[in-house]
Amino acid sequence: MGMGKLVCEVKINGEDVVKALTTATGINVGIFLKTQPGVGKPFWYWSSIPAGTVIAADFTNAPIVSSDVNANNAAIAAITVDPADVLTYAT
Amino acid sequence: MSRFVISGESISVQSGSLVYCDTLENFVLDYGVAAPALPGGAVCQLYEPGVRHAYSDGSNVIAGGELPWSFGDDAISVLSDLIATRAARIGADVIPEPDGSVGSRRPVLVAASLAVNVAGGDIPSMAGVYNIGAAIYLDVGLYMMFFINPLSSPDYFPVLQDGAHAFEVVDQQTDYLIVQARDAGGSAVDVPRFSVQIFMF
Repeated sequence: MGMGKLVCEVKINGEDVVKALTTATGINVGIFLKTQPGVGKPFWYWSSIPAGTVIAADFTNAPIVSSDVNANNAAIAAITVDPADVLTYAT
Repeated sequence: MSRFVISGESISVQSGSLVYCDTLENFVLDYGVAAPALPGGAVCQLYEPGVRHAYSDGSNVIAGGELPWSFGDDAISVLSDLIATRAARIGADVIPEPDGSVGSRRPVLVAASLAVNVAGGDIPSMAGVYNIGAAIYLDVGLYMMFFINPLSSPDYFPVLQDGAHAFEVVDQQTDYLIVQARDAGGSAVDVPRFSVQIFMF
């Protein structure tokens, strides 16, 4: 697993906001997901997404972070949705 | 355990975790007095206060020494000074004995990213990481980094650098760090690449 874009809710200054995080090259994203956004939370993950500032996402069919690292990585591999179909960008 | 050892032309004085080791010639410079000459035929001396004091020819013990032995006891009693004198002589840093007090504990690297790249209003990549899993471009010069495993306390020490700009810590929590890069005039500015190292005691 390598660098990519993780879209999820993160808490900044006490407020939950949707952000696109750049994951570091080489990390096990399945492990990192347990910290951000955390077990039980929805997320999207792609190797890249269109440029721009993500301000919202439709998590209706998004995978949910599991406490099982392998399950998380399998969920990432199973993502087939196009980022443009579920992400909202700032204009 | 404490011990005073001469082996050939070298000498070592030890007490607990403190160790002095050098040549007999340099011992005179550091201690001010030469170690007593070994008896004829001896090339090694081992003195352990209250335990043993023996001379050997390198293979076998050939004689015993005084027990207690005042010269060895005196050298052991000023071991910290002996080490400090040697360190000053050779220009080495004196590492304080780790006793748990402030000033004697080494900082521990708990997270790092040695290459956070910034371009086009985004962080396109980051590499060389240790316990930093991801980052967000929040605004001009404003970057947020997330730890893979939350730190035990928010009282950590971030060290940021890019070689040209000043960095200000905006917020530091156990699970993330937000920093702001500024130019010489104090204005927020994007830097092409920076590194961050985070230490705790």
